Amino acid sequence: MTARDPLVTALWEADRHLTTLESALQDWHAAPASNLVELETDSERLRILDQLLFRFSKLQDALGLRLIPATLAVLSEPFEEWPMIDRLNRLEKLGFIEVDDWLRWREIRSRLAHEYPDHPETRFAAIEAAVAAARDLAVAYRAWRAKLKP
Amino acid sequence: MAATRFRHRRMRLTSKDIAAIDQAARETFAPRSTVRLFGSRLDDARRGGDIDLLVETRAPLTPQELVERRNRFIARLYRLLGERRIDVLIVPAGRPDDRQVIQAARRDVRLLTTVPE
Repeated sequence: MTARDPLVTALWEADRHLTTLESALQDWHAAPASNLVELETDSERLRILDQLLFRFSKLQDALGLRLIPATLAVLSEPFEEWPMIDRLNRLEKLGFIEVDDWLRWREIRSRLAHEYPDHPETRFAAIEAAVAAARDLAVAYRAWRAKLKP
Repeated sequence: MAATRFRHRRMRLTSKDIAAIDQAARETFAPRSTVRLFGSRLDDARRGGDIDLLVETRAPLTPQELVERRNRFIARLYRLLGERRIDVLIVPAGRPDDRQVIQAARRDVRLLTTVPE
């Protein structure tokens, strides 16, 4: 097995999530909700949002679990013993990712999994921040992919 | 006993945790904002658990600002401490808030840091 095999698998997996994520982003932006009531009373918008946030999480998983190690392996980096933060820092130096962005997306994603006692306006602002993060993640992954395959 | 009191004072956060919280707060919140610990980490008898922080700002933030600051603050903590379960509530200081969790947090907190002027 060469270093490229895990990379091919990682890209295949991430691409599947990217396709659905971008389609959900397009649907969301075609008719974005402007407050929580508008969102929660519209099952179609809720369905789009669920799909969007699910794929945001899955794309993060695909990058974190597969693409990060596969990219470092292809570049012959001795990453096996490195903690996650060192892997991220190395990839930032190599121009693949911004660590601050990545950590912000991680936080947004972990927040999605829990109910927080926020006011409705704050909950809606958090949803909008998550949609923006999903869009940024999609853009970042496309750039990463382009850099891997010049 | 002195040792017990010391453990209480540390609140089951390490000095590294507290230094990271102080640094992240300075990088995120305006001067005179305070950060307090509440929740399970105040209880010496329990292990692990989320780090629950109550941030009180001098001026109220818009919902968008609040979400953005909370996100930035926790991301900074991830960078300094690694990814942990961290929950942050942000409220304006001195304003009543009817949410139960805020009332409980305000009753039972230990001051960790105040962002300097």
